Amino acid sequence: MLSTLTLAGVLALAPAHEFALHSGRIHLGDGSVLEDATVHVASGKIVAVGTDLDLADGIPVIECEGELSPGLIGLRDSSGAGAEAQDNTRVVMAEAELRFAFNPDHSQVHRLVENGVTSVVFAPRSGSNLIGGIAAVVKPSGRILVPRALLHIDVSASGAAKGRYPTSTAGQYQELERLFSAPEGSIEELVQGRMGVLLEAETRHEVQLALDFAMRHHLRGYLVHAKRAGDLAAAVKASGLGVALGPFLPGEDPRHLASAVALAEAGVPLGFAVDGSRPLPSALRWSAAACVRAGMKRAAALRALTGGAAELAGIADRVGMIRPGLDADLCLWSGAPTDPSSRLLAVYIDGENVYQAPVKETVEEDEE
Amino acid sequence: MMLPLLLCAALAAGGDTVQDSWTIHAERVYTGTGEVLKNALITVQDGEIQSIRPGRSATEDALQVKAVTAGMIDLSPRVKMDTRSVEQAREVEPELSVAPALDLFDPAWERLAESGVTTVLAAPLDRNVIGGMTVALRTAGPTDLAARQWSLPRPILRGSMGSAPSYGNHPAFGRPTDCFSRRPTTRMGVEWEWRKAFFDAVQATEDPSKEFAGAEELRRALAGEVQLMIQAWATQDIRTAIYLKEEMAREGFGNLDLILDAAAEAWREPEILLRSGAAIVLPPFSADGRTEDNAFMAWHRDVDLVNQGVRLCLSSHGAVPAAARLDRQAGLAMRAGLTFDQALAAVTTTPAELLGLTDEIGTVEVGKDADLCLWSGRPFEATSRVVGVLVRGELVRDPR
Amino acid sequence: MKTQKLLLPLLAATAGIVGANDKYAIKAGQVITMNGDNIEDGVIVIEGGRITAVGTADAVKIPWDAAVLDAPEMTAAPGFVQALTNSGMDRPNETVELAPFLDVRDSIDPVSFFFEDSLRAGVTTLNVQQGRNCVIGGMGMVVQPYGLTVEEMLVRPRSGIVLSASPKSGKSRATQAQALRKAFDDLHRYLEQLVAEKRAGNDRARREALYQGRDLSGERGRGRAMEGKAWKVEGLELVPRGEIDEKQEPLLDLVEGNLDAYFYCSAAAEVRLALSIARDNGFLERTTLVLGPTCWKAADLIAEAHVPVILDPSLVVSDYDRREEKFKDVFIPKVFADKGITFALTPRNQSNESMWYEVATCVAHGMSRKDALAAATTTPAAMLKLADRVGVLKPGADGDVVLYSGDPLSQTSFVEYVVLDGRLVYDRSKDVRTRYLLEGVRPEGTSAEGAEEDHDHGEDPCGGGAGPVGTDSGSQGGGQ
Repeated sequence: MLSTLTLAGVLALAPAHEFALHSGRIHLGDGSVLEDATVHVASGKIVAVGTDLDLADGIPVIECEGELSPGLIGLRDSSGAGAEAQDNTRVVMAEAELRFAFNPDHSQVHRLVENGVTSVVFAPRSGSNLIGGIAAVVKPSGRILVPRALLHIDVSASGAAKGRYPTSTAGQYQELERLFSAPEGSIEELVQGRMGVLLEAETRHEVQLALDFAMRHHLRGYLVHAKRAGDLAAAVKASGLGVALGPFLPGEDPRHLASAVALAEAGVPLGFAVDGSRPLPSALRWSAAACVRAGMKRAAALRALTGGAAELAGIADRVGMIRPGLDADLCLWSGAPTDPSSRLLAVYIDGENVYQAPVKETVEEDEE
Repeated sequence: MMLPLLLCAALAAGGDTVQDSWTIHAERVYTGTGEVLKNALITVQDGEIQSIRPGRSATEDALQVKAVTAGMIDLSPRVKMDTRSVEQAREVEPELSVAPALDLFDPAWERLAESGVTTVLAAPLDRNVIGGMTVALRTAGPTDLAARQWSLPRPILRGSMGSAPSYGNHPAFGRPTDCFSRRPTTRMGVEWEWRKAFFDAVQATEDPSKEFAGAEELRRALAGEVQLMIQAWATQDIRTAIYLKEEMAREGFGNLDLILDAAAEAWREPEILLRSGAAIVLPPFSADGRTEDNAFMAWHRDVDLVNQGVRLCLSSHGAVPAAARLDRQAGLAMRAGLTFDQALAAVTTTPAELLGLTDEIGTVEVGKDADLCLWSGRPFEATSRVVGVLVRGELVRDPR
Repeated sequence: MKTQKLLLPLLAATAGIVGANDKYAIKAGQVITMNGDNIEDGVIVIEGGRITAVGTADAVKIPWDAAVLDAPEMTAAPGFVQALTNSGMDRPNETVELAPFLDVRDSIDPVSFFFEDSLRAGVTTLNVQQGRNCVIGGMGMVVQPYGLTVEEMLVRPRSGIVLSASPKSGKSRATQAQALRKAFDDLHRYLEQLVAEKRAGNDRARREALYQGRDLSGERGRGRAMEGKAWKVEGLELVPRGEIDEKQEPLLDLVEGNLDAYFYCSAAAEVRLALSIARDNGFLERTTLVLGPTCWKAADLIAEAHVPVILDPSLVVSDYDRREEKFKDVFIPKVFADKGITFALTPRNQSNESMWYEVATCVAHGMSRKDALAAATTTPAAMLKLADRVGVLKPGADGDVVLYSGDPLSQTSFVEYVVLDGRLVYDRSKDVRTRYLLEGVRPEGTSAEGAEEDHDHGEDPCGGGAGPVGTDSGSQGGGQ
């Protein structure tokens, strides 16, 4: 109770440009943890992190009661975009850029922050597009980190257009091969490895075909919506693609969770998606917790929420870890971040305190 | 380490370890070559039949059954024939294959395998005039098409006559609303598409600028390198298919090798059927003879075509109820007049012959693939049933 | 083609009195009696519609004046008994929930193809009952599938009434349960009220009965103390039975244990309800459950209640196990047999799953031929209280015999002849519909090929154009 008040008090006084956070536990984002350590932030970047930092005088040190982690990263989101996230005027929308649908002032975007999500892959929603558009990496603060990050290709049933070419699986791949035989624009960037792929495949069969396709064209990136991909973990691992897990909801089919665990054990790069059929930022951490409960290592789950996801989105040099030089996107939790009963206390994006949990008197009293 | 275990669990119907050698003792082995072996011991190793010899088993763990036949083959199983199996945006798609649409994770395959069907011909849904290339595959094995697909000496192209390809299409009044604002909307339109496709394919040889995707497959069909399976339930559609073949021959375009699928009314035209040399696949027997496209299936007359020299196969159309599966269709064919040997041939050797796989499957002989059906009594009788199945030596249904 | 001949003694043939002396004999290579062992070279003698002798050719003397069906290559067997059907009627369901006052005799259509198909499939006794879309249905009757009138077909009237634990369309399980309970609560209240009125000297019920012309003579004019095991209304002996409303009387018969009940359960969850209704109202001992395919899951409950069951024709159900992602076949009769539950098979006569196929399926799954055949003959006969009359070939039983071209359970055997009450009523060689199915040859005198299709499309080729103005083409065309 006391420390929470202290924290709030200090924050109100401290200049945002340069400060340090001291916490009993700091999750660095690659699965490792520092006990009793300090993060030094200046001008929105992380300057240093360590147990024995030599801080200059005058830098305010904020005592954190709780655990610090990097801000969470959602591997697929369309918060606030509504119908703008999917344009089905044409089956192939290879040059549609999703960043134009991003509205940081939308309440759904605020919900991201309230759930500790500091970067998302802002991507097309599945509809009847074979290629839905180019996903951007954005921060809920409004910053567009990577405008042309990943190309969304949908080879699931939803990508087979109703009433127009292609209606069939064979037609889907026929059209993709045609586009890839003379690549232009985003597809050319994809083939040249300058852009990643966000490959939507749902059933195991669809995943099989998608992996073959990705390997044929040497694509990098990750699968989304592939809830049973774990049954094919070896093939996924061999493809070099990652998998965006979830979002998992209460009552999730246990086979989906077993699939996630199998992928983790096979060493497949993992992250979590915010958006299933609608944006669900609160599901991100819940999904990770569900995976932990199903047998995934806690460190692996947290890595998938942060540093691992950043690697899949191609932004590991910018965000995802608590490491000198990276953006100061930080979350303070009342306990372990992968524990669903932990509360989010504060969020920093680019060193700025964008969220502060309301003080819950009653809860505190209960605990006493 | 987790992974192989998981895969095993998904693939092997039996248990944790996949046993690859078996000894089967059967009171009767209906080899399919005309021979019936009594009290025979079959050994299976590495997916093949290693030996067949008389006598009882020396080992305790031999599979004891009443009868053994070759695994059954269904040329019209209609499994996974869903809307994604055929590209409906165009009515003629010979260049596309049904392969990408075959979801081997679907439990329907396993169910087929457990019912004694070990090889099937998977085809695209009959929503197109020419739907595309079919795939012959085993019903069990790894969930990897490459490992289960047969390479056919003469692949089979699938198309359809009758109402199926035109059903649901509508003429475009003004702006087309979707891909079903398309031809054909009638039976005659279907027939016209067929002729046009072949005509265009031949034209393209003279004028390369007219070459189109799929023309090669059509020309290969005319050259007899690709067989043509046409769904035709009713007499008029059977006639149309045969007349198409005859017209192509008359024009000097080539000689189509026909398999008529779901040919319920084949009995009405035995003469032109024989003249054409077409093989037929019968749809499942219905108790009142009524089938699709208003076709009436006269049981006895249809199976009697076998005696007149028509190559005839039976099919289940993927029926789920035990009373309608392929073994029962063979029983019903016997009820309709086929001898046991003819019924056996209609679900084993004849389809194997049409697939061009007589060296591999269709009979129980040393050196053939161990695709076997184990029975509790005389095969195809209603008083017996399939109790065990091996697909390439893998026990997918355990008789014990 | 056939070697069998119908040998009519000269005298009988010339005099035309075959029907008059009512003697009929069947000689068959094999006789399945369902009453002890099968007989090789057997003879069955039928006199006056009843079997008088069954035995080997050496042991049984054929009366000199009997018509003889000599079929040395055939197998004679009792006709199959179908414990329950809703077919052969003009619409099997009534819209009202409680219809115990109805009787299927008013609905049975003697010329329905269903009965012809039953005969063709070797089913010679059928219990026709109302359909399952009800709460409490009407009175059923046992018939044979031959005769021009319902009376001719009759084997046993008042064979019981149906109740349904499966919701009538538009109802939930809860409201169905409520409606079932309410029906008996209402009966209870109604009877108490009758007694109270009678005690008070009020003769409203009597006036109503007289007004409706109900029988109040003899037994009907007398009261009788209420019987039954579950509950009783004191003083019912004061009320003459003829005065009881005909909507309520069949339910009273049930509660008193004087009527059989057939209780439909389409799902296992409904079995408990059916049993509790039957138990609470005292007719559990006269209840037979009519089960849907998945009801095998309630086998323990059924075994505990000691009630017999009638199975759905789907004997093998494919259950999809979502966890293991596998289809698992369950052979239902084995589940019941293992728990000692008496069960009868039912066929789909107008499909490829007719009764012989159902029996054969049981054999295929390991049941003995005897047990499997019993489930289609003696067991259903006993359920219908006809154990001495049908489903068995023995002296005293009805003269119903089916002759098969071979083993009745073989794929290649057919029903060649059916004899009912000592009369030959089916001869396959003269069965034009079978010939049509097998050979595609339409019976002589029926419409030519293709006409049927035109008819189906409802287009009169000259009607529309020929009519004077574009009005009702049907009637106008007919008038031309």
